[in-house]
Amino acid sequence: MPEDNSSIEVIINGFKETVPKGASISELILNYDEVDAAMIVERNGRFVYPRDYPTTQAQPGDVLEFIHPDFGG
Amino acid sequence: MSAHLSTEEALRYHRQVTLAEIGEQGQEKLKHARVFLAGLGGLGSVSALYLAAAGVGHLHVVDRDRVELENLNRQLLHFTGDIGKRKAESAANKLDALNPHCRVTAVHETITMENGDRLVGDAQLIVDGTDNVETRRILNRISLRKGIPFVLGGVDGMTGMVTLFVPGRTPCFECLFPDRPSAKGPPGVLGPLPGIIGSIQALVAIKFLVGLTHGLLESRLLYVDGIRLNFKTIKLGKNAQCPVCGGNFNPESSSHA
Ligand SMILES: [Zn+2]
Repeated sequence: MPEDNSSIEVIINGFKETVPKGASISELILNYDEVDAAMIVERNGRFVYPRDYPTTQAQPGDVLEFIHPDFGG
Repeated sequence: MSAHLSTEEALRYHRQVTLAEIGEQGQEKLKHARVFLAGLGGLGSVSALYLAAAGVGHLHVVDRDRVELENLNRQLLHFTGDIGKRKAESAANKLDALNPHCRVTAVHETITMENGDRLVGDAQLIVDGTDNVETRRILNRISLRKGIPFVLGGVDGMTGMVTLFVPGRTPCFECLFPDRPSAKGPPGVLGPLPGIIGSIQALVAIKFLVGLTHGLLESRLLYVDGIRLNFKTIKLGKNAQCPVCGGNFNPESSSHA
């Protein structure tokens, strides 16, 4: 889907994705498998705190990584 | 105890004492250092070996488990002949044999909110070698309560992560992970991953103990991806909503080292 007024392009886990303009991190996470309560979201090199997922909107060109944290030893 | 190094110690640590960053002063700091290490599995095996070898004076290690056959692909402190032994005892034997100058106190116990303060005692640093979120939450709270920095490590499959939490200077464990992850069985782990992460934790610990305060992974989470063989750091800002520390810190404060 090409970019238009209602969508933007971002990079999620290394892949270019077209997502709705104004989409929040919470909304984007839902499209990813194995959503876990404890997850790492990195946006442009910065850690996004879980409480900020609903209010953090993806901007054009954002580089997002959804990472499963490692709690084994 | 003499503040100075014996001839034997000077030779033992020669290759690190010659580093400008360590020197005799740094080595003497290590000799007087007190470190609490929770867990003697894949991570703790490796960090304990490096901390003892480097000449950390007091290493207080705790683990509640016994050595099992399926530990041996990654838990380098324990050998085939140790199966069935307490990990604390197995670790103490190896660490004593490696460096008799390192005084190892090994305890076979489960770390809880009740006994945690006593177990950590007057350690200058908490090193995480645990394999679960619950114990890390306990260590985090002890770290905050006592003002002792906490070197987090974790591995899962082919990836791992490390950061240093310093009360008053960085976010805390529960800033990052306020929610409990869904319960899963023990993850698969390839041995070199805890080796890498445990080694980095030991490096952070040694740097902290000798006072090399730059590049300590404060407010940075190092993420190691063993599939793509890529290392990256993720910047950690403040979480003012943290239920445990309230995001109450100042990265510029010089409350440690
Ligand atoms: Zn916190």
